[in-house]
Amino acid sequence: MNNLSVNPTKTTPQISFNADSGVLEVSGQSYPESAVEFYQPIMDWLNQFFSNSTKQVELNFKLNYFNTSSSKCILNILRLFEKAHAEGKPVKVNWYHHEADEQMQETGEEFAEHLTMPFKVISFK
Amino acid sequence: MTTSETGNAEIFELYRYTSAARILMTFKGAFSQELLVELGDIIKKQHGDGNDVRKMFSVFVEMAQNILYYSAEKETRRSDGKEVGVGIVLIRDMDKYFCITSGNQIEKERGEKIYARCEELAALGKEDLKALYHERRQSQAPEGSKGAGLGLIDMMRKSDAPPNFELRAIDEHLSFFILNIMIQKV
Repeated sequence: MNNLSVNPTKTTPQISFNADSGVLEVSGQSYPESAVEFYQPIMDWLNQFFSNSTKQVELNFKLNYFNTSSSKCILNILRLFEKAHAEGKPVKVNWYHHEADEQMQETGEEFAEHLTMPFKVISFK
Repeated sequence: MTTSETGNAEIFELYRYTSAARILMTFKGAFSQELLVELGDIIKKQHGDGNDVRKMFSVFVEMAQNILYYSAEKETRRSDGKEVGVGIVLIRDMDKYFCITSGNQIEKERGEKIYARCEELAALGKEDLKALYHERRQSQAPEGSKGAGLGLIDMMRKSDAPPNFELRAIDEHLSFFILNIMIQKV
């Protein structure tokens, strides 16, 4: 399976999903004009990835801002991982935030409240 | 042109008004995605990246995108013919708070719905808003909503003082919707 790599713009995050290593990363900021349009190819890639992979997958979020419509798309990504977890696939999610960034810390913690898969909120300097 | 034709007196009044109202930044016009990105950058450049500015920035983006999508007043951009919504956003200095305001035309009936929705949300505490935000985020976007229908709830959650909103009649079909969100300075 091909890797997925999307260069960042001012309003869309960098996406680097490595199908071989199972390390996936979403970083930057997200407030595109249409979040659904931006995230659809990412959802498609993930759906295909999970349909033929059983290996360890690590998803790292390193975001510093996203708007409410992106928030919904991020939840949809997390739900795909939650489903994979429920099917017994080894997944884990790390939510990185700058230590001074209360919003990103709180949003990470809020996602965590409703998930059963391994989900860590990690602060960095 | 004579002085009255150029509107110099009004421009002077506008300047005096914006100074007295302690308006830090304002834009009235067509809110394209590109424009709101630039204005958002200016906010960060002028105020830094403290947690209050992060909140201010995110409220600004939600307001500007709401105007872009939902304003009843549309303008076709000369450069590429794209249609975007028209409205006004202001950031005011209110001593302990920044007040972020949006104003735009809205169809009368839709305005009444939004106003009622604001009343419902303003009556809720932070924990209830948080629960509602989670519930809404999981469900389908409401009909006619291009975003996630979450923007209002998110702005209410971020407001550090009771939000203020008003619907003013323009004519029998149109109203003008104003929303004020207060962010405490840190």
